[in-house]
Amino acid sequence: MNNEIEKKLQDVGKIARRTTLSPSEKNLIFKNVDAFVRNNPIQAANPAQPIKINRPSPYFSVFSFQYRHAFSFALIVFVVFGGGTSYAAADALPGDILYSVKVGLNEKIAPLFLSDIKKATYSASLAGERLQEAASLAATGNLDDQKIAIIEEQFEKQESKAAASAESELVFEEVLKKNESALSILVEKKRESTAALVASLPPEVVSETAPETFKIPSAGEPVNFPSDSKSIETDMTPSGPAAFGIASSESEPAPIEIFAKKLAPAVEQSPTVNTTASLTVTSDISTASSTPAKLLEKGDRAVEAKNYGEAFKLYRKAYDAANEASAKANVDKVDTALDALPK
Amino acid sequence: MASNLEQIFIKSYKENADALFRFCFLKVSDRELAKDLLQDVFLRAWQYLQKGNSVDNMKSFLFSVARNAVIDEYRKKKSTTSTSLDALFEEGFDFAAGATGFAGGASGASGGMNGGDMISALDSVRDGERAMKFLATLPKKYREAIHLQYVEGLSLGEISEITGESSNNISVRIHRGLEKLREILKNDHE
Repeated sequence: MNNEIEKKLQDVGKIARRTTLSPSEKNLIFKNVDAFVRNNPIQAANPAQPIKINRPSPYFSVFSFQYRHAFSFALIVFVVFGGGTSYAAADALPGDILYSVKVGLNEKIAPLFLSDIKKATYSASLAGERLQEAASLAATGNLDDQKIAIIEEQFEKQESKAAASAESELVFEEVLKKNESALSILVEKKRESTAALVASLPPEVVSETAPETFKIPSAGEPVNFPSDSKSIETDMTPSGPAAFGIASSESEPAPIEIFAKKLAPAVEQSPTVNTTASLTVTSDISTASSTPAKLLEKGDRAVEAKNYGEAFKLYRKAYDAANEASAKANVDKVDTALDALPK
Repeated sequence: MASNLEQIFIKSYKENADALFRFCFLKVSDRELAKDLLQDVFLRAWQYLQKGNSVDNMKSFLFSVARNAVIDEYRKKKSTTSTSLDALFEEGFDFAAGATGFAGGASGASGGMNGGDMISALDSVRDGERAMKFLATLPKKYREAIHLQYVEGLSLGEISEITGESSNNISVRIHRGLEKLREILKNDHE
């Protein structure tokens, strides 16, 4: 019976739809509405959102009926293989294909929802994992320079993140103690490669002293300092290197000592410079005591004191300084060769 | 140059003016008042959009505005007369006046419309209005849902948006409206 009523209603609906505005009525109202719209345009400062008419979004169409199977399939493939890859990468070591997945994906996703302090602590634990990886590789005789470089890079990243809070720094210290044997292997390897690099440097580079850019002034001449210099407060009393707070070796003067000795007569004679003055010197001076050989020595002392964390840090610095010096020496060689060319 | 929004709005007038006019006419049973309400609906709708508000479904939105315009009109009348809208429906519609109004409008602005066209247009309106009268015999609470579904062809979801009722409620109202119509037809036959 209801079907019959519905049919009747549909017929009534069809007929009722004949109740319309006449064209003239429609036009008249349209003119009024149109004029109102034109006289009241959309406010520029508050533009309307686009109206969504009954039209499916083109962005949504990817997930529409015809694509849903393809989409589901892609999702399953991603979950099965993506998840499997991520799981398999958990035990990867440097040099393995999945190692980049481990450090580039797994370890970056895991701390996403942690607080900053917990992130730093997590980084400290990851630094420990890098050390374990080094120990595993050393045990199988696979710890070569290339892998050390990879481990070092990843270790340094976690080390800098772990320095974010006092709590995570403590955790980092504990991690180093816990993995002391693994760290000692890494330290030993790093020492070998650094010492080899330092030994290969030309002597003039190893003992390079004061910056070339600094001109020693003669008596009465004002002291001119390089414009691209770093300002430091320094006690210029010419009483030796101790005044600079730098320990020196008795057998061989440190670069800063040589520089200070060169500078002392000029400072004494120059009326424009007091014995205690605020001076500006190039940053090369401050790094002069950080020559590769010195750092290597300091690292050795740290190893003797079984402070492997500090030793590792110093060896890395020594290696970087040696690399820099080596590059500089190469540049100097090229310059000399160019100067020797007939002009 | 008209903005994209203006163009969409003007298009929505052309597509929905007749349906909204019927809806207003069903509610107020006065052709001239329904026309005034129709114009008011579009002016209110534009003011709403002009403020930067967004609309998901233009058709449902316009029907909602029409519904509110009718309620406002009803309140206005209530304050000046004692006749309620329900009473208006109970008393019946002044269809003759409505048809005359239409005929007058058509003759006044039809331009090239000949006598035969006018008579045919008038007949169709009368048929349509008879159908509207038939629907108006339904109780108010079922009338709106039945009209929106069977005359305007709106979905349950759209009717739900317009009336602010749940789809279930609308479904129940339509079902009960059909039952009521069955009773009316049965009584007519008897």
